[in-house]
Amino acid sequence: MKACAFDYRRPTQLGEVREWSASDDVRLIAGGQSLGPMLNLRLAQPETLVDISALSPLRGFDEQADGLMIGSAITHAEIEDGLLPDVTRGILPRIARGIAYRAVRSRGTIGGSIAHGDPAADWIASLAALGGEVVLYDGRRYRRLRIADFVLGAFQTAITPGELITAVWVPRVPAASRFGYFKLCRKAGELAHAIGVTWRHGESGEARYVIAATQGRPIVLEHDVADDRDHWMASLERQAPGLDALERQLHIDALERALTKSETL
Amino acid sequence: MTATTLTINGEAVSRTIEPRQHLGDFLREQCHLTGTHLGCEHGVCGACTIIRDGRPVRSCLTWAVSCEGAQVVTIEGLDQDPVTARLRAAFSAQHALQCGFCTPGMLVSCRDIVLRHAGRTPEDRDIRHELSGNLCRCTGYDGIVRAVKEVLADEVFLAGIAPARPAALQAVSMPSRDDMKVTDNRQNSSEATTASRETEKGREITSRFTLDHHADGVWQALKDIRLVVGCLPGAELTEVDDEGHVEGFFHVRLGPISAKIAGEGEVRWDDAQRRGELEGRGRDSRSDSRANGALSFSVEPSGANRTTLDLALGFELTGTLAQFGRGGLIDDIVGSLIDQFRARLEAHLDGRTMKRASGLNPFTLFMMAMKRRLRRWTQRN
Amino acid sequence: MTSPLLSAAVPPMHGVGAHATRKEDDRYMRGRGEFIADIKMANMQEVAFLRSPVAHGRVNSITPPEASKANVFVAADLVGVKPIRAVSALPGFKASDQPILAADKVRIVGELLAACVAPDRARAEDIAADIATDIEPLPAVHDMLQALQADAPLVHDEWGDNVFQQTFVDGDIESIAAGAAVCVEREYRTSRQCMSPMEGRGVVAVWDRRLEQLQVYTSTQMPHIVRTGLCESLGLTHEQIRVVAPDVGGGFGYKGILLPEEVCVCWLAMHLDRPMRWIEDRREQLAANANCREHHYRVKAWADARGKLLAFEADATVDAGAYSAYPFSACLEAAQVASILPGPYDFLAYRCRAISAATNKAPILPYRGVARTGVCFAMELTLDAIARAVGREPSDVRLEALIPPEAMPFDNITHKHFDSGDYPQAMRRAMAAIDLPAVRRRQAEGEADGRLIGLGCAIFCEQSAHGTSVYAGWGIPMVPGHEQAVVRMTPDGALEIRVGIQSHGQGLETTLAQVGEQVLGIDISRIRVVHGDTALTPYSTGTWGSRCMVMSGGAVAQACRELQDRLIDIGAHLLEVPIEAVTAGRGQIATEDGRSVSYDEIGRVWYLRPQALPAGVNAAGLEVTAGYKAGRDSGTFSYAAHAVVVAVDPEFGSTEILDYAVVEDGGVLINPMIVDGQVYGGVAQGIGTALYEEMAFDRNAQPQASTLADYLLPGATEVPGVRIDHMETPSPYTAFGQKGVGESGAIGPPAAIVNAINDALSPLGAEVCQVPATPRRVLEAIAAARAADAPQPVDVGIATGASA
Repeated sequence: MKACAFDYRRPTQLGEVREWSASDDVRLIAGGQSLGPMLNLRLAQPETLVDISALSPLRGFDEQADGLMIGSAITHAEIEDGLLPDVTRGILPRIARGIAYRAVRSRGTIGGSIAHGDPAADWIASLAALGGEVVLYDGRRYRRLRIADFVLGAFQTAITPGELITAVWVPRVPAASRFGYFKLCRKAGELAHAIGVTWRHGESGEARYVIAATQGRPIVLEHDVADDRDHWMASLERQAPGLDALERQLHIDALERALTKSETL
Repeated sequence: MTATTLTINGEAVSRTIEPRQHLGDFLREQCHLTGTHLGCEHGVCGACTIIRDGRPVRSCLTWAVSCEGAQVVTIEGLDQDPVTARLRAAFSAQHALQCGFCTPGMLVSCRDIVLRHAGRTPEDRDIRHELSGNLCRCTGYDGIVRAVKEVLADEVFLAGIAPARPAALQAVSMPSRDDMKVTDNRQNSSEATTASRETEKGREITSRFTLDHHADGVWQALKDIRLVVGCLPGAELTEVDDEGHVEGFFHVRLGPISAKIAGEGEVRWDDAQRRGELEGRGRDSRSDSRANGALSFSVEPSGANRTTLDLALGFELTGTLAQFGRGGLIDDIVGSLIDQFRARLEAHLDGRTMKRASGLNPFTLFMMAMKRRLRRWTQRN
Repeated sequence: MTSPLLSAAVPPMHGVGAHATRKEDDRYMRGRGEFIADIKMANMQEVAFLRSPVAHGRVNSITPPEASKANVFVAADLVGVKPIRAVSALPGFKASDQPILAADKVRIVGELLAACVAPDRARAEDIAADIATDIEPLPAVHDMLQALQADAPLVHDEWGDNVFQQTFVDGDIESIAAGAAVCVEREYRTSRQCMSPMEGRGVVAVWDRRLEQLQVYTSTQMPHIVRTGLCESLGLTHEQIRVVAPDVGGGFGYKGILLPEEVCVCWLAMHLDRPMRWIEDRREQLAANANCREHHYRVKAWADARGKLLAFEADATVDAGAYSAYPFSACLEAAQVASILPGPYDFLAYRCRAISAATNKAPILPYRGVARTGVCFAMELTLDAIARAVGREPSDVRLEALIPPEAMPFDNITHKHFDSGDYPQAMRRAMAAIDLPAVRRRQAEGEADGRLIGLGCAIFCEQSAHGTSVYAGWGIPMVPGHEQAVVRMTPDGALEIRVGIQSHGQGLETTLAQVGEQVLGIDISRIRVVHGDTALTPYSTGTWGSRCMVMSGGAVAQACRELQDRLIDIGAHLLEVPIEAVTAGRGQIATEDGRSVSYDEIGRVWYLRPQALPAGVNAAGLEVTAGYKAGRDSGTFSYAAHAVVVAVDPEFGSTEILDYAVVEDGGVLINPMIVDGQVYGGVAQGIGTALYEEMAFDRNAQPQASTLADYLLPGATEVPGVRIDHMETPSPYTAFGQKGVGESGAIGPPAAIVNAINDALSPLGAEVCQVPATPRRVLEAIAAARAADAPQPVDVGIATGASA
């Protein structure tokens, strides 16, 4: 089970990424914990890997008044270990701890996980609820978009050839927020079969609920959030037609469990 | 081949390395350090866990060429390490190993657990969670959990050990959010009604949607095989004969996975019923996988200038691509395919031309969704 | 011939019964074990196999690109190599030829099509990826019940059906059934699994020009049997082949086979005259070699009003896959089902039909517990169904029918000879350990989180160390019966023990040394156990069937005793007293008045100073080959009672194990620490069978998992702490009263856990009858019960191919 031959490049400047990654047969790689298995299994056979894991602009953070910019090559383990300023009242380290296994978290990155667009990814589900954004850079300009909008479907994202995620924006979680996260796995470290996330701001009433691991893009319920299973089910039926009745039930139950277990932060 | 310099068990090593060689293979085959074992080569079993820059990592998911400047420590390099020595004594006393194959990776992980939990008394549950990335098929984990607890309870020993202190991250100045273009891409659910199910012939995904065109025109368009195939993103025709026999390629992408299925098929139309079917079979030689599939379509007027189109895409995979438990993900991809088919067909009927995409390009998909939204929005106003 | 000087001289810290830490640990913990993939040779080439992507198909052509033609070998190249044939002598058995490389037809996904040779594995895989194949797919047999239908495709065209063999045991059910108060009827299914040792298979072969001998290193449990099989396929004689099993990273039955890969790599090494290596990767293992545990049962049982089992009838099917694997054959498991289904119960009437069905899947291999895991599942779920029908505690219902201790030794309804044990006591102790009344109270109170608590139990026996008569009846290529050991004292008084079995986690380098220590009083640090090498050890059928401690342990004990007699002979001479005047032990021969001569000294005299030897000394010297053959070869019967408490989440269908207790009786324990290790490890595998592991197949017999992300092995979070309690009823038939106990742990968990789940679900009227009891299956059972508003076992008929 050995990967097909590929070329390997490691840019030292952010600006070099674009010139090397504009072709179809190039894959960006950061921690490589999702892409690595696909390469070893020969499911992915790119001609070139462009390793962005050591680019220093992607390895830092920038705390701002209303949130935190996290460099995309920050690893899950670094988040778990509390090496970033805590703007989420402990949510990020808690989510990080539930991703795969410690040795995978040592290398896997927040940006890489989001770029991979796996419907069962913890960061996509949780940051969609927190109103997180990705920052994309194409060598000339930066643009940003909500994580919920960035993920278009299973392994499909709004990233364009030549672009990379440079940072992930996490808004500061205000006091008196309630947050709940529940993922259904058959065993520890396994990819989730269903994820439910709830976030509600006590004062403004602003809220975002997410149903994820639907095999497609996450379902975000916001302006019309209601703690109403029928309403959730209707959204799920419309937006995740591939799920059978039992799977739909599990997703609704997961969201309900997240809500039940949600805590004021 | 890429020239790489790294430190392995304290010694500087400079080699030219084939980029595709993972660190586990590099250590075992080039450096003759066979204590690092390969159990799955996809990151699940943990047998190949080594230490890179102070943290446990999977050597099977680490490219050796990416270790330029890295400090790598393997089980052989832990021979004199005091924590590992203490763990070895505990492992033997608690019968924490049987066949010994998972043991080197297990010890590397346990060492990390001890270093991060020294001075605390974690619950069994927490130790088990920490161990969840290392599979053992012999011991039932009981002895391993006891061994870790034994070492964490040895206060005298731990007093002389420096706990893990990960390197701090740097605060940097990042571009201001205010200066960035915001791509507002609120997604609306597709107007199509899509469903999927298991049938006797495999997986079938059906979709029904309405086109603002006369049924005659829609049917005429669908009778043009080049047009039908042209509307299927990633499909490419190389031959068509009068009998409806076609040959060509179908290029599908699922994230980093891409398959180019070369195949052949037959098209049939039933003018009376206004139904048609394109049935095909092919093989992706890269993954040695085969696919059979049928795209059927039927056209029915649903108003003066409105037509309901029913699409059904049934498919069945064999070979490598079929041998995964997450087949449901393919539904989502096929659903996107149908969305694109419909958008392209609509574009054709509207007299617009669309850029041909090679494969299921996410960007194209995104643009389609945008255009669809925009059109709906303008119609609404 | 027991030395009168034996055990008394040995403190309990040593020898049989000691908690000795393992001699083999240190090398593994320092990364210095030598596993098959660690072996490299100069000029070595790596092999990658091109495997069939389809389960059933006609091979029209296999065409390598011009550039790599010289590096690709197909069936036509293997001139003179015979297919693998494992024929059983059971009446009606249909033989299959398992090709080394497929020639005209493929019958399994993953069957070998071509061998690709290159300097490294990645390049060998590159070559395989470039080979063009033309395989015409044929309808596949994806399920054992489908296989038996009249219109099923044929796996072997010439057979006319898909039945390897069927076994009948008949009895007069009807007369007993007529008077029974209760009758229950159920259908059960156990899923196909991949045994998944952490290390896969692998082989390194080289032709040794000096010895004119094929040297084969292979990750096997049975090096001698592999040698015999290689002789048959390659047309060589035994002395032309040496097979070495290096450190082996787990077996569990997965490595109890002669592989087509082994034959092919050996042929390549001879044909190309250079070392060849093939290492199985995890995808090959999962996609091509899920090869065990798949049973189906239709069961009917009758009991009296107290739930005492009276009669049992079963229609059993075992999915045997496409070929008869060497040496255990395609029918070993089904033939065992019919004979062991009664388990530890004494009842009046029994009938069973067991079919080995051929399907387009990997050939079945006996996995830890062999047929017992399925059989125990069918029997123990049925006993719980009876208990529910009569409204009594499941453990009480079992006590009604378990073989009582006063009946031992006992011949049961299928003529199995139970050597010893107190089964009812094991059951009672298990209930005490799990605290039955407390669990029932907790159940009655209910859980704050809405989960349902359930208690389950299972009791079963593990026949091990089978002898000749049992296997001769099956007439398979390998019939065990006796076992030899060579013991040799070195000139410095240390002991070498040579045995033909193979240790791959069982700790036999330690436990066999403990046997030597027990007899000779030599510290285990001075005893070396040599195993896994046909050139260095006596012939043996290898490590399987929990036979090593009984058979090899018995042989080592006997050889050590004979060696001790020779030591006494020389020692007494050196001490200038008659042999009656000395005692042996603690590494020396001593007189009553305190004079002694050490074994070191005796060793030096024998090898280096023969002038000091007595005149009539036994010229065979300080090396003894002795054997063990049980007086009764019906095997030992270890047994265990498992009790488990689970919490089932009725919303998600998930099961958490809250408590697990095992009462194990493995006879006299040679090393209690190692026996506990076998139980812990076995239970963990049993939990895998019960809740996680399943290789599903679609209707084309495509396996639905090829990575450990799809095929779930239990990790540390899925396995609970297990509490073990021992009974030690000696076997009357073995050297120290020991019994084989390597498999027991893996037998009970599926039955005990699913019984616990069903106990938890009983307020909902739902019942699960299939393992793994996945969340989906639990939820489907609940949904079915709600729909029917009555107990409704979910249909476990022909598998649909959908992965749960």
